[in-house]
Amino acid sequence: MDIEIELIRKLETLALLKLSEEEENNIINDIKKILDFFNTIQKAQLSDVEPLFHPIKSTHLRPDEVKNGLTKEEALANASSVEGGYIRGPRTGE
Amino acid sequence: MVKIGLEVHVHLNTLNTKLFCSCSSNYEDKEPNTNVCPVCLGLPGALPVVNERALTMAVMVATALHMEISHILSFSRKHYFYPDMSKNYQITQYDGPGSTAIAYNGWIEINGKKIRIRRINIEEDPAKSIYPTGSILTSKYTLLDYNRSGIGLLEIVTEPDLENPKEARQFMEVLRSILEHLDVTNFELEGAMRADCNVSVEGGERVEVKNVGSPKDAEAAIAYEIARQNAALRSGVKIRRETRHWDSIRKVTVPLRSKETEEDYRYFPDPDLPPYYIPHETIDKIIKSMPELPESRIDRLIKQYGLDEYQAQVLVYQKQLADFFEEAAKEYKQYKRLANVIINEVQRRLNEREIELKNSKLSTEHLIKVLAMEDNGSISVKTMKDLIPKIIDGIDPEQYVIQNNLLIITDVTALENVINSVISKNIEVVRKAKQDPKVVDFLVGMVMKEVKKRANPKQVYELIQSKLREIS
Repeated sequence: MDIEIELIRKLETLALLKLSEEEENNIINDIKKILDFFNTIQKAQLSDVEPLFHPIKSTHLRPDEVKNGLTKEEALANASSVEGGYIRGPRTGE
Repeated sequence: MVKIGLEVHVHLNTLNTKLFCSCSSNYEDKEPNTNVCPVCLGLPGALPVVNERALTMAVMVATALHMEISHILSFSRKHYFYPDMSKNYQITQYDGPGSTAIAYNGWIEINGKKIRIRRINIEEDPAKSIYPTGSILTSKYTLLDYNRSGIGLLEIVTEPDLENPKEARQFMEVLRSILEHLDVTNFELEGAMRADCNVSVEGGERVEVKNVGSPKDAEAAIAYEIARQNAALRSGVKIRRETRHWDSIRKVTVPLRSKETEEDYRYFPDPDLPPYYIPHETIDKIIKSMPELPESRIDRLIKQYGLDEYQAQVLVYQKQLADFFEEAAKEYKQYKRLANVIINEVQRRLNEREIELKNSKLSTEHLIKVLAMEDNGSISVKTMKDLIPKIIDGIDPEQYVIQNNLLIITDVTALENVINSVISKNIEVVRKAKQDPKVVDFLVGMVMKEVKKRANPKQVYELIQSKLREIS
């Protein structure tokens, strides 16, 4: 599969990243390598094997009982910017 | 031809805990970021575990909407970058490899027409965003409260089968009633039901309107959007595919962002949440334990109380009214009359004041007193109607009637005095009345006006007739 610069730019937009031209070129090569691995995997004969999406067969559910969580100080400890007990994030309007 | 489809989000706010963690699902009136844990804050390494009652509720709703229920409960990650979602993905359900929605292919009937429901997803709510200027457009940053993050939601998606704003409103009202009867959602809590409305007019692209908070707003937002799109097309402007925001104060839709296409969300099965195989017995048990649904309650009200279909529907589609009716019907046995007064008088007065029955001071006891007073002839129909707003404010109707002198005048002497006075002032009319019986009604009207309608018109008519016979 050909990896074009347009694809990289689209991924940048989706991931909210801005790469330099050099980084973009490096990424093109990295993604080519990654896809080559997958191309190898794709060659395996699996037509008679059921798809597996998770190694664990079935999970369990949780009873609907309240437990204490974090304190406000713990909750806000990792936020880079806080205002009046709120976490401050970027603007969302265009 | 207008096509309307809805994506309705309802909070599973009657759950005790959030969807994937044991934080309380009651986030109202709490200081910001005090109802959180590593899971709902999206901290790395925190592991979500599904709330079993959320599954129960989803199965009940799916059954009520006549849907096919999946036997695998699976979750996917929907990726997007927004400050209200710190993991950069929302845990939701998806129709794709290794993942499935909880239910597919249902319907709700509105005025004899089936509105198809495509699917129901179980998903988590994001954090609450506060805009410092009050507006998403002008705020330089966003303030975030994660107390709401992780609350369980159902996303109920219809096919584009709705054809006008009123139908969309009715759909949401019927859906609301179903959810209330199942005790899945408490609609008194803020943001309990929100809808995204997809609206397209002939010759235009689909436009999505977000942030619609009630059935009434859905009707208004869709009506606005149809008018806007038609006006644009008439002036030669193309309707492009976009997402708009409903401004419920200004009653307009405003552009929000150009629509990301579906593949951009890069869905994949959430590796933190292995699939759960729902045993058949579990589903059977949930279905058997379900409370009465609006459809069967409407049938029951018709059979048990002899109501007509319209009355039963109006009551049941506003569960509070139906509950109030059935409570009053234990004591007051003229059921059709009771239903009529609740639907016409009580509801109208509540609407005028923009309050819900539950939040008013109206008691079944007071309503029954008012009806009984009219039944035994102590008050007029007009007084009965005038008393409804009083009892909505919690005023005792019997005391009020006595204090304000509203009892009907049945005393013959008192009525004769009024009649004599009217006759003496209208000699000319009396002469005509003796020749033309129709003119008698005019005199009845004048007497009724004089006693402020506090008399039985039939009794007044008879008294006037005998008086006219006396006059030669």
